[in-house]
Amino acid sequence: MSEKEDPHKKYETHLWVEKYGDYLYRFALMRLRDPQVAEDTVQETFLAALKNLHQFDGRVDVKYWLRGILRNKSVDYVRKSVRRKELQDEQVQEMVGQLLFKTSGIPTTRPKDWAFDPDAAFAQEEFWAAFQECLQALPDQMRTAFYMKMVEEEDTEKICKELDITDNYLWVSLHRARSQLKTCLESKWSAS
Amino acid sequence: MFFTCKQVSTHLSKEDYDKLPPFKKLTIKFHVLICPICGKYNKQVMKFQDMARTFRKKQDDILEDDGPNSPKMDDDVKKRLQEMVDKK
Repeated sequence: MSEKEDPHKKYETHLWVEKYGDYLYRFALMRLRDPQVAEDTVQETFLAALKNLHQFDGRVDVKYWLRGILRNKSVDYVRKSVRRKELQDEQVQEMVGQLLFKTSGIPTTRPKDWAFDPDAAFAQEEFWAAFQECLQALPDQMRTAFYMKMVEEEDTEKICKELDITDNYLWVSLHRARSQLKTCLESKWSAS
Repeated sequence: MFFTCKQVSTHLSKEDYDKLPPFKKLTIKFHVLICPICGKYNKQVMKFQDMARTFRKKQDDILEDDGPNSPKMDDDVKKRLQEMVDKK
């Protein structure tokens, strides 16, 4: 095999740790919170990438390819590690049963107004540090659901399949994620 | 022309309202502004969509930031990973 054809040389695998290690670690930490779990997941990502290097067509940057693998590994980790569901089936049923109209997605209890002006906050860099902290404080499944739906904009069906949860479960998870985020942001942001 | 609360909620649960065609977007904005039933709730859902959209744009910069305050992998772990990569 000539040098050009060896994918390890072509994609400079020996530089991966140096070039992408911290980047991937930060991504894993955002999603998984625990530094040990984040490191392990990055390691698994490198292993999987090396194993499947022959399938990589080079159409996207190596960095984004690795990040895609890491993203899937992170979701896998959350699906497998959540042994006891964060929400019990009864809680989900109860919440869905309390909707204003059946399947309307409008809870009977109205939310409180924001304790701060969100639009003004969005313009400040410090707000986004608080936002990340508050996201990290959510339980794993809730945080992952929020990332998948709100940040990655995946469709409901795919999220439910990847996390092995039902539509209603996802809806209640996102509802709780929003209300916990709001409470957390208000305590971190309004006080400052 | 007009949406019901249920239609507004369905749209919002499917995708970011900002991505809807202009007329639909406007109809939804108008609905939540005047609706005494779902207005308050759906306005907050939309604000979270604004938040997530803004964060999405910032995410790459946050991940790329190699500054002193940015999290980094432990040197020992990097060393171990490097050995693993070199073996392949």
